[in-house]
Amino acid sequence: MLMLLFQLGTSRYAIPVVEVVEVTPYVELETIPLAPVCVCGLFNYRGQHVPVIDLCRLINDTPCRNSFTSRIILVNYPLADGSRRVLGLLAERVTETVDIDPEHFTSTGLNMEGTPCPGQAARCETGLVQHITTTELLPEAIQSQLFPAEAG
Amino acid sequence: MTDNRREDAVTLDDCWNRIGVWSTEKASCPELQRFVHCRNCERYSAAGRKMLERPVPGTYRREWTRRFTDTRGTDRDASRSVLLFRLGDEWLAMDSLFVNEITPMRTIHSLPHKTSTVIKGLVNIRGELKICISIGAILQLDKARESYVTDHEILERMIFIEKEGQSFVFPVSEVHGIFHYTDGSLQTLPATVAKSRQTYTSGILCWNERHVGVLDHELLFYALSRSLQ
Repeated sequence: MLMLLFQLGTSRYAIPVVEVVEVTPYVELETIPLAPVCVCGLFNYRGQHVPVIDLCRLINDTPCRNSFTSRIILVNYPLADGSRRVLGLLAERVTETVDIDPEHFTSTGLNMEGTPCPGQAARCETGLVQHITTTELLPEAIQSQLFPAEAG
Repeated sequence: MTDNRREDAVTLDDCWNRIGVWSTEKASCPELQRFVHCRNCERYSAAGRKMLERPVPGTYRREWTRRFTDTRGTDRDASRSVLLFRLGDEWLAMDSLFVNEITPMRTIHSLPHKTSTVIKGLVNIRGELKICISIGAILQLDKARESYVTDHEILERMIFIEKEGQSFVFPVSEVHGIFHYTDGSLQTLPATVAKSRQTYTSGILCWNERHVGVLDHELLFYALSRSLQ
């Protein structure tokens, strides 16, 4: 399974590339007033308004660094009614993909429901990589705020 | 931009310039035994990644913001590609998915007791004998036209096509190259067309103010395998 690697703080994470629409540079975003802190803005993506979540903020509570390798990963986010919306994920060091056998992902021994990490990790050349799923990515409170019509 | 780069420059140990293959003296790095060239070394690729850890200048972000606001995105949507080639004075296109190789003209070895006009003979492609066919005969293209383009032998090529184990080679007058287009730009044929050439065409593309027929690969491969029986 081909995975896109990225970094949040000092840990490496991976997301299956089949869920990725496009990877774009960290463009300027329109701020949304009164939005949750981890929602860093709206991305005008080819005429489509895409909310962007700062994963560093969501997981580590620090904003993503403004460097060339901080990029926005656009993913297909599945909604409750079966349709899909594009969602932007801002992460650091989005520079490479790696082919990991799904069998290499083993349980970390922790089951943290309601967090983006399903408790699966694999060892690859650069070290430990944690698996992230888009379906469990957002806390429910943010999910209901982001796509209210669809979620309701 | 250049000034920005200077300011934000990260300090790197450019060992590839000091002791590696780009050093002015003899390359003395012990790792070269293993990697042969610096570009295979992880220190070199790690340094490349480190260069990307620089802060982004505002102009860069602004430029990309502008680029993604653009809804046209023509280059992105042009997801289909065809190979453009010329037969006599007719430009045709074929789905590039089925084009295996383009070679210079080769000798066509004729087959004895050959009755079909479609099969021209055998051609040697990388040591394998492939059936050479005349695509003009299948499409019933006649060369006698007023606006006939004079052929230059130097432009002549052979196209090797393959689909599901079936492979054929056919000579053409000229090959232009790959052309990318969007699904929407493929125009449909007029319904009244009944000529043979048009029935093998799945659509028409506009290229350089010319109308180019895109060959229907399914029908073409079907007709070619029929002609072998």
